Amino acid sequence: MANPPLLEVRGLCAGYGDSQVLWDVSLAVPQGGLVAIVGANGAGKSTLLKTLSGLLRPMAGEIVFDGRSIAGMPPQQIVAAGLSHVPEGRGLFSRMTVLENLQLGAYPAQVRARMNESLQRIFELFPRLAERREQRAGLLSGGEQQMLAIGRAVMACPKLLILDEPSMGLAPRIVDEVFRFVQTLHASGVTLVLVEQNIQSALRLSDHAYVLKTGRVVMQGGGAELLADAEIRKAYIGSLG
Amino acid sequence: MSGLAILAELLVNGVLFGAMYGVAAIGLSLIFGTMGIIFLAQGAMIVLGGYAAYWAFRLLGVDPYVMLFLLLPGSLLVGSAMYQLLFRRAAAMQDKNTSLLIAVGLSFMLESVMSLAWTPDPRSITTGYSSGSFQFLGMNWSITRTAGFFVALVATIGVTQFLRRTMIGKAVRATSEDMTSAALVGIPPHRVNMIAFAIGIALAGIAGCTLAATYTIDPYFGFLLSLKALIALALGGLGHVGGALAGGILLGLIESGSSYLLPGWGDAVGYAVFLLVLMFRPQGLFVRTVTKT
Repeated sequence: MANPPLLEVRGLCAGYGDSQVLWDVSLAVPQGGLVAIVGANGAGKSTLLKTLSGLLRPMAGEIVFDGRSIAGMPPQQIVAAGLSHVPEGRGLFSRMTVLENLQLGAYPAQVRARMNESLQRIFELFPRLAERREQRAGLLSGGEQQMLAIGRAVMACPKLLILDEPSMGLAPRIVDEVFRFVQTLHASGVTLVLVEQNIQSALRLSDHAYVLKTGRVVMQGGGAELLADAEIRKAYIGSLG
Repeated sequence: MSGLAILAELLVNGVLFGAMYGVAAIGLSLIFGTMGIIFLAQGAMIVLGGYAAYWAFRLLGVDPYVMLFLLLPGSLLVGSAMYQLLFRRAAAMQDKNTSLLIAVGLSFMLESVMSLAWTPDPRSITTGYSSGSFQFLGMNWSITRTAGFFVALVATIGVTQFLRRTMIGKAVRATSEDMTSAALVGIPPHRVNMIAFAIGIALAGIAGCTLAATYTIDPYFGFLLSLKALIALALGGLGHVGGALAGGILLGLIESGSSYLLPGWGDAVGYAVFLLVLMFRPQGLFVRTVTKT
């Protein structure tokens, strides 16, 4: 292997209290890659992401990000290390303005000095956010809220951006827009992990994908390859895709 | 004086005094927003601030309104230290009951220590202007109550500006709204808790100083004040600094209005309103965000 992966997860077990959700999950995200993690509701996708971003402590296993172990680190250190997570449901500060949400995205000391540049960049990518900068985030449309959530994470200049269900609750036309934006970000050099129930789109975009079922990785491969595989579609995807 | 004039003066006094409840309520709101507990020792901290002002005046001759400027940095430091010593560990727990019990224990401990140290006698600061008043709009305005009102107003504006304009202030608001998201953008929870707690204690110090200049204090007055601040918070709704001040003023109005109509019933009516608010508008107290999905 030429380059070590940006993120490598080995034998990860995690859960809540006594109930274990993830069992021996291993995966790798190469530098510059777009990796999809798909699976049905309850497969453990969100638990995996929470463990990666430090909201949950792993029970066992290793998480190596950008050359160092981040397993068990608090979220603020993980964000500062360059791993940003846009949670399911977007997690916006809905009573705060668009601008304030974005500013808070640049909270870590390392990126705060670059706040104005980053804002400029986000506003160029999403002129609509610039127009609504003084509006409360809670008053934006669903699509705009998703753009803001992603924009806020980009403010932290992440090396790896994890998106949890960015298409959730959005109209198909808006979903296309969100995915186009995800591609733009990817093209600009951000490594991405995309977690989706919208499996078709996720597999089409990704260059590598993992299928999660009841807390285990049951299949992996190229996105297009998995999409084409009739067996997989039937077993894990068909009913959902 | 006509009945109406007396009522008008009572209501004005209610507004002026209620602003102090409002200041205490803002402190409760900040601490609840970040640490997730009702800080029941807020009243005892107000009384402690009052004693600080009282002794500074008695022993050193420091005017209470000068003392405000010394109490502000002092109570910020005390608040930060209290957070680190008493609450840091408990604040990290999912279960907030430990933090709540620490607050209750702290409240009772402060009461007994203050009582032992300074006797349970009621105290008040008597300056040359303490009983002074001036005429305005055909009414008598007590100097200390009016001053207390303006102190409350300035404190509210100060906190609002801090929360709006500084990065750490924005982080406090963000944490109050959604702790998980705040963590995910990289906001360190202990820093934010400590800042919010320190400001809460500073507001208690300010309230205590103006209280001792206006009113009498005794070591056991604190718990009642905590309850009043809680009522003000319930009236004003959580999460809005201006709302907490308005809630305090409303409570002051309710108390003085009811003491006119039903002499002696001011406190009881205040509590009844509290219960009614909780019964019919509990979202004013317990729901912090209206999330749009």
